[in-house]
Amino acid sequence: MRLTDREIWAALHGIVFGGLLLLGFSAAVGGLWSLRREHMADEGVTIRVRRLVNGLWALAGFAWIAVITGTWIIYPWYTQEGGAQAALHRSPSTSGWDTFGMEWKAHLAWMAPVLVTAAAAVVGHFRDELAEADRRPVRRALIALLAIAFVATAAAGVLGALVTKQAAVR
Amino acid sequence: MSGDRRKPFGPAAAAFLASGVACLALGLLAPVTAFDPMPTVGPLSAQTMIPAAIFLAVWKGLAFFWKERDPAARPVFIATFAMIACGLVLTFPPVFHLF
Repeated sequence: MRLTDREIWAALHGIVFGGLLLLGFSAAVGGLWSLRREHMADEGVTIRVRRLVNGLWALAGFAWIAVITGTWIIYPWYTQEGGAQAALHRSPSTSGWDTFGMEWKAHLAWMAPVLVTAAAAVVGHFRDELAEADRRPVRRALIALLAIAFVATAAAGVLGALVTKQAAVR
Repeated sequence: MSGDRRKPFGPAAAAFLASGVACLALGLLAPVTAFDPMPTVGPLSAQTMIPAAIFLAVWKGLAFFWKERDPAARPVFIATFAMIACGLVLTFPPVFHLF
């Protein structure tokens, strides 16, 4: 049982950073959903918001690391001569995993860091004020932003796993 | 919060709109293969680096101009999510392979 350097990078990209990102979304959305001044004391709001801001910036960091390692480290191995991409194009029954699966994943995934960074910046700007009743539309828009980022990450993750199942980067 | 001055919506609007513009740019650049600044990565490097740079530039630029402004939230949300939706559609391979 042994992993090559490339398999370790692929695991870091998809399982470690991508996995942490997917896990973090539910915590961030839950935190935003329940962030209401009428439900907690001032001190509670401050603690929750601090946790939310730190958590969202950490998520944004994971998202940027995941897409940067995917695009600049793993993708060149995928497209190199005789690599996984070439293996997929050897048969018409598997070429779609590259022309559809990898093409979509490679672009869609980049939406996640942008959307999570924007969400972190907005929460960091309003801080405790975000819990006020009249900031509810902002909280809802943030939840929508994170939901889209989650869908983009999940779709990219599933496609990445399926492409790897057909032809792994080794 | 009573007695505190309310924070302006401008810097938040800048982040929302910048994310929308970046997603739209990802979609618009997906079919563009002519620009290949890093041969080891291929056109994907430009297709992703340019939207990331656009995101930072639009975010910081709008945040600077809207530091103390309070633009209406609704049009900002509508524009942001419309651009994200267009970006999602344009990054879908059966769509961008048409171009």
